[in-house]
Amino acid sequence: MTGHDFPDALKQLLDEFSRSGIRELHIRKSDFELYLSSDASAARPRAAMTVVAPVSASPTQPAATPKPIAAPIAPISSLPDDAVIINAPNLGTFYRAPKPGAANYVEVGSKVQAGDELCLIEVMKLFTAVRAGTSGTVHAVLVEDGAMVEGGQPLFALVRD
Amino acid sequence: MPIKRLFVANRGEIALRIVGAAQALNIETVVAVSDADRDSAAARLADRSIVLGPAAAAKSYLDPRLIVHAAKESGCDGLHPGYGFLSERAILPRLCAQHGIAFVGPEPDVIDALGDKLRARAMAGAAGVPLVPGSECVASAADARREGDRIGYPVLLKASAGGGGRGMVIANNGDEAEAGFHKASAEAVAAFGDGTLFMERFVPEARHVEVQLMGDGKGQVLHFGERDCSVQRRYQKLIEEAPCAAMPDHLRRQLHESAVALAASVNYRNAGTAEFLFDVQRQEFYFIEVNARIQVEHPVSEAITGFDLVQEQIRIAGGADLSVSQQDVKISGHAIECRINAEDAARDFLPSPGRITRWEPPQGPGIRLDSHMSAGAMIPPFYDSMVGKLIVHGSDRADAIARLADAIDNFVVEGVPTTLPLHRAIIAHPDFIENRIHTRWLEQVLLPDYGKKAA
Amino acid sequence: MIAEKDPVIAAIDDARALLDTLLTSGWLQLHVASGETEIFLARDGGGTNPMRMIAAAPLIAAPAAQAGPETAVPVPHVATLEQALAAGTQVVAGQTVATVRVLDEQEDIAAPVSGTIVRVDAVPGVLLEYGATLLSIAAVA
Repeated sequence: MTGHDFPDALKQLLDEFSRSGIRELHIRKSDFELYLSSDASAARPRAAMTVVAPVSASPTQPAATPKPIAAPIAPISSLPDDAVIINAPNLGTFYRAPKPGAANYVEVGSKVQAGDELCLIEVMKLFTAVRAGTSGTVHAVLVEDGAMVEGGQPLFALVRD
Repeated sequence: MPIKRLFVANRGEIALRIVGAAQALNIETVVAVSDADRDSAAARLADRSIVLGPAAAAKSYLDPRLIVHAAKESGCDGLHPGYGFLSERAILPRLCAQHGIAFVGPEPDVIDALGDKLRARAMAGAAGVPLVPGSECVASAADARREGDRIGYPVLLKASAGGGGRGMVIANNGDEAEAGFHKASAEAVAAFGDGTLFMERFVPEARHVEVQLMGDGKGQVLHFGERDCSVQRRYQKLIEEAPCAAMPDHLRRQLHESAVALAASVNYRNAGTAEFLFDVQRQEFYFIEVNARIQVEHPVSEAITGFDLVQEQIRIAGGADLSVSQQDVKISGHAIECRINAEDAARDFLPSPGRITRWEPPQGPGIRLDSHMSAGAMIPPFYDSMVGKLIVHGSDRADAIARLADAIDNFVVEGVPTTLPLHRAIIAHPDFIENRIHTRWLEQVLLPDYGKKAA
Repeated sequence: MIAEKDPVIAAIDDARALLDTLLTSGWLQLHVASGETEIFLARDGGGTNPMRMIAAAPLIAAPAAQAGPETAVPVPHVATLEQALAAGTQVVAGQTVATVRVLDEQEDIAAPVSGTIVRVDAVPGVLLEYGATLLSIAAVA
């Protein structure tokens, strides 16, 4: 695959796939294999190249991980207007407890003070504690324990007291 | 019996390194991968790859039963654990032994003994290896002063039940030792319910030096010189050199002899590293620990000795004798390695997984790159952030630094931030060039300014 | 000098043309195989991707006739299949349908859905990689 045509052709195909709304598209050509699916639960085939849609077609998109990013458990729109959303500071795995088997930092209904730890985000062995920016009550936990989250993804909804 | 088919129970650059070494010995390879590493460079190069489990290391690379099952059922008669993951967990060689697989590493009992800091320290003491001067338990403030006077200041008062810095006090003189005793003891009671303290000499500006060892398990132990790994951030090595240019020859000989004596005392088999603290002011070295595996920084020792340590590991695990004797190990020139991590120095070294879009490494005499990366390669977020090691070999330290500077300047990486610019800044610093560094130098001297410039 | 079109780009261009065809035709799926090139496209509700079935289960001689939506039961980690219930067996969700082994430890695999086992995909005694299909269950309609 030489020259600049390949990324262009691929980008056009990805754009068209995203717009089409179809379920899957699969190309195999000698050693080259491309599988596109809008079904995030589809298991990956053994493939030279796998893209799980929806994706940005930009080849510089960071952190397009093989594992689909977790979908929120509850839609953000269903939260109360005064809810404070706590977002992930960076991409990583979301852990609700300080270590395996330990109690979760918080549950729905827990009262928290500003600065209290809510969860850990782990990326490449670096654990970052996510803290409450305000005191209040945990209204919703928006991601499943152990899921991969993106930077800026909503994790918790708090309601101020 | 020589190994015929080797199972590689690791990932990243070291998996690729092991596959390459095995192929040079005409040994077949099977690489274990997680779901995230299906298309890794090592998996492509090996004769076969086997997907152990999902991306999470706990369900793939850290499950010894899955690893040994895959090794056994794929007909492997040898297993290389690499570094990290399960490499120093005795369960892995024990399972291998139960299933007739030769483990490329020490005996499990030796791994257990060396993994226990107190036992390792006792073993080192018994082998005549210098330990950090210290005390038994100190019972009173007066005891603390007497012991402090004997050990030499500054001293560290430590809780024997301790950890995590609690119950730890530094004392610079006798008065501080007495006051420190009360403070540390109270802290230790509060934190651990046990106020027992002991003391040891505190070396504020120490170098980290280590000796590369290789034993055949039949009583023969060789060393392959020492390395200096004093450029560290939060106890993680960033730059490693060989030899330690700051150490005079007579001390270097003692260091090698100590390390070999310790390994020989346990009839050490395969590769290992004895780590020491080097107190430059006092011109003394003290034992820290033994790492019972191949280390990340082994290439600098290979560069100055011209010897392939990983191939030797595989041969020894297959029952061979050491292929050289000590007088054949000749040190030549100076080597430096820098660890290229996908981390953003401007964001407090936040690991930055993602896709490498450009990867154009430098080439030339004396340049070696150990990496599993290429343009288009994905750095998954599940494992450590190291994407490669750049190693240069020069006629002396100054020559090696100049080559490394050139090599970094000609290294194009795009897509994710890496620590290459930091390495470039480190090796341009007068303290590094004049070799005035110690284990806290990077954090105390370079990084505070570097952070400002990056911001 | 004639610039030969890159075969991969040609394949991508083919796929784009087929995508147009699919969208304008109202078909649910499209499968083209010609020489070294194979392309499959499907809308929601389209059939199973035959290219992926081959990739996931190289041991099957021929796919059985499709009765209804099939659920593949994957092995949860690398393991060796000890035994599985035979094709044609009716099972309920949660029932043990297969036993796999890691070293000398056995592990039961439960049916994720109720239905009929249409095929045992894995061969007993052969090492299975993570995600490999043990057997397939046609859900109760």
